[in-house]
Amino acid sequence: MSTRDERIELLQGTLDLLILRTLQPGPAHGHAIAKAIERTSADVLQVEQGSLYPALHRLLKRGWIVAEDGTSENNRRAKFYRLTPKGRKQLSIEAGKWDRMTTAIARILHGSTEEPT
Amino acid sequence: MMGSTPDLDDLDREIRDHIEAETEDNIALGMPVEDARAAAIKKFGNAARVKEDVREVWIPGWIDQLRQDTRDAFRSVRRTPAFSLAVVLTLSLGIGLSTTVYSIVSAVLVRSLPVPDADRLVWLTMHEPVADVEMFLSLEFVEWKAQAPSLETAVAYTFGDSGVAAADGTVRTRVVSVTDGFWDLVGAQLALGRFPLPNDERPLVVSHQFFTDRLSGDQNVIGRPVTLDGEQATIVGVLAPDAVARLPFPSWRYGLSRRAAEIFRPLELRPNPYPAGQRNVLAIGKLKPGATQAALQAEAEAIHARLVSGIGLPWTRLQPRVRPLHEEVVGASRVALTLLLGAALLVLVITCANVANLLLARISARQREIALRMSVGGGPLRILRQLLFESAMFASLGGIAGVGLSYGLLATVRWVMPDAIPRMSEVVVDLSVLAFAAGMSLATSLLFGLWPAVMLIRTDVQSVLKSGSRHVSAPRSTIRAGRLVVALQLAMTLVLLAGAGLMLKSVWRMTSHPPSFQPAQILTMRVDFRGTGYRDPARRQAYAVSALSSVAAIGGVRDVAFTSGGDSSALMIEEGKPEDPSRPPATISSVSPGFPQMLGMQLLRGRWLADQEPGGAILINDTLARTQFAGVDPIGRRLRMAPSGKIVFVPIVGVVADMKYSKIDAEPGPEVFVHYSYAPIFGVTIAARADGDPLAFATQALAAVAAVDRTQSVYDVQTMEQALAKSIAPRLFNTILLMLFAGVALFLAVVGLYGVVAYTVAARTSEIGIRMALGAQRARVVRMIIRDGAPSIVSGLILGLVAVVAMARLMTELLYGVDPTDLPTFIAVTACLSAIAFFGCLIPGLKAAMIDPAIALRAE
Repeated sequence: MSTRDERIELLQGTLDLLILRTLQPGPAHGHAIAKAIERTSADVLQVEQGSLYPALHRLLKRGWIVAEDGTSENNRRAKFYRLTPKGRKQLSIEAGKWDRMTTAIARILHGSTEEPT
Repeated sequence: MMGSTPDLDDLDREIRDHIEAETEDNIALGMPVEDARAAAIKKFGNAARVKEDVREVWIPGWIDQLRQDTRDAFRSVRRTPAFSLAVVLTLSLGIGLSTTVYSIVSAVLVRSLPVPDADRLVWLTMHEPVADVEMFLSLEFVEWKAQAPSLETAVAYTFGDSGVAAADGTVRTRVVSVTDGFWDLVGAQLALGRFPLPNDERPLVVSHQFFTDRLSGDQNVIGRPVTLDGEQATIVGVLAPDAVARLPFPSWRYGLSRRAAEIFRPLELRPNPYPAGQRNVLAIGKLKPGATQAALQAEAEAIHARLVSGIGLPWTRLQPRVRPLHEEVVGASRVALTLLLGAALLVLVITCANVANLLLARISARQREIALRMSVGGGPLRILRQLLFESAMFASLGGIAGVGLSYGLLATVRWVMPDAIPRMSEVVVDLSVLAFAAGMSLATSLLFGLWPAVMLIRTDVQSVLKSGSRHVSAPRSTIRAGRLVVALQLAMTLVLLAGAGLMLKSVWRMTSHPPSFQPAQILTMRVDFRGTGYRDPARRQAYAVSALSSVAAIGGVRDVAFTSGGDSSALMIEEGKPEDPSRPPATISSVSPGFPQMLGMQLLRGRWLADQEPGGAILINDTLARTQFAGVDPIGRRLRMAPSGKIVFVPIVGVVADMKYSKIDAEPGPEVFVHYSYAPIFGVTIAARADGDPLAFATQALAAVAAVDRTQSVYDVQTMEQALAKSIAPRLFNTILLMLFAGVALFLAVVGLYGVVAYTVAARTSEIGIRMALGAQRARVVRMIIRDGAPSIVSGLILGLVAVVAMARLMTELLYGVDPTDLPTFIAVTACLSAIAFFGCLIPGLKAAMIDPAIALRAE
């Protein structure tokens, strides 16, 4: 598999995690999710907003989120995405992994007692 | 919980709303209205691409996997083009040949005839045991049809050639006369007009070919008069274009040239009781639903017994015979086609062996790659699946190429030898044939891809990786398997070569002539007397004599002669001896005196015919001399002849050696050649030998003969060689196909042998390098490599010879003048195969001898 494919896979994983994270407090529609991600990650992820939708469908397919019809803040019909119990569990697993990894990276960057291999 | 595919129509609305919301946000941030929307769209990115990506998310995983595997397999196939080409070529040859034979067999032998209720149609005939011929007489037909309870209906027909008057003279036309109900029984379709009705005055139905060629496709031909052998008849119908090809009977028999039926007219049979004159007919019966062939056979025997009671020989000798119509149409081609099917299957087995061998040889090359992948966690199933995908890729490519090859082969066969087998026009590459090809290619490559794949996976990963060598040799069992496969291939190839050799020798036997007979130098043409004027035997004789003299008058003609061409036969009765009806009748040819010499006949005793034979003269052939005059000198004995209804006794003046000159694949029976003044002539073949190319003076000769009487048509203008070639066309077809198969098998077997030997050389490169570094002579290296291949060759040849001896008997029926265990043929093919196999080893051996020890050792 090429390095390009690998990078996309990494980005996808991150995006999935961010979406799950955004939906943790409660259901949201597509545009709101995009806005929330942009706000929290402070433009760290330079992805086009459109790429949110394939990610949403990936999560739908895995059964981590569900889509339901609702009304948006300006009284328009919109599709809302909600975390399922399975998605909640996945979020905690992924978040744990992520934390461990960032800790490890931080340790490498700031020097540690062990020799890096 | 698994998500199911959502309604993707929602997505459009969602994207629209998203961009709308973003635009509103932008406006709220103070962007000018016109820019806000553009910025929102830009930020969203390519909407079409997003939709595409969403759709892709929902594609089931296995399709994605399939795509991935196919891509990988394709890459792997492209990475080793030479190897891939070898596998695909091998597969395409095996699949192409077996598909070709399968399509012929399925059309000719398996598929039912293209007529309604084909399974209820039977061929009605009778067998004459002494002459071993089949004939069916009009009386029997009429009585069977009227009395046999098992018959729903029956039709009879006869065929022959007639002259049709045309602007440019008389055109010879194949005419079939059919009884009532014929058209219903065969279920033929018309393009124009109608079928004849009982009250029609001489109605004709013409074939579509005749309609387009002779009547220029004129739509107004219905009701048009046609002059047939001088009598007027009227066209009432034109058959549909494919109707004649679909008729369930052969339209050639009794020495007529092969040609399609052109005109059909009604046949009326008046049953004369025995022993009065009987008409020879051909007949098709239709069984009642539920009736059996055996029941009809019994009924026919009872009817026949009643008809001949008190009549005596030869009528009582006839035995009714009923058999499926399909069998009659397919006839003798069944044995040949079964043989070809067997040959095709052998080639297919050899193909499989070769594919397996090629894949085996690749094991060593890929062992490291596979071991590496397994060590990094590639599951064995994943790897097995990938290997099988590669096999499937080879299978599809080989299958496609094979079907292409088979299209080409069928087209070639149809073009070169359209008459070689019956129903050839029905042979098509249809769905069932394609399914056969697909099944064959899948079966061969999966089966033979699986074996090496499993061997590969069972590899001990650690030992392969540890050995560190660039080139890992396959396990000993693999090499042994490869050698065994090669031995089997050589054995099967020997069987095919021996079969082809025997057939080839048969054809050679048939076409070899005594040196005095030069068929290519002799021009022949035929006239069958037609019309009321030629009922008088004297008139026919006069015609033949004047045709002879007008051809002789052409400059450059050296000899000219004529024969009636064995168109009658009779029991030979010696003067003063009782009639012996248990003897087979002899074929009678009424000839002009020079004819026997022109054919290169050999005079065994007595003398040739003289120009003037006041008391008549007969030459008899060796078979007749041996059977009827055993132990006595036939010269001077007199045989009964009835040249013009009056009985005379004509002396035998000479005995000639047996010769087959008209139908060379038939064994000669008793035959007599009578001076033309003492035997009947029904038709005449004129033969002329001239200086130079016989076809060059064909036009002149044809004009000279035609000028004798314009109402008679002259046809089959050809050299005698061409006439002979036509009579062996079916045999040639079998021989050529079998030779093709043997050739392919030989090629594949040698490639297989070469592959295995070349592989062992590659595996032993370093060993050979060391040996040579230590002073081994190059010749010794070559010997070593050849010794390596020798066991496969020798055991293959021995096995093959055993199989040949066991199987050759099956071919007896297809051979002519050659014993099925013909030693010279066997020696020749064995020598040929050994020589070629030897070269298959020698080439890798020479390559091994070229190895530079320094390079070989460094390569490790």
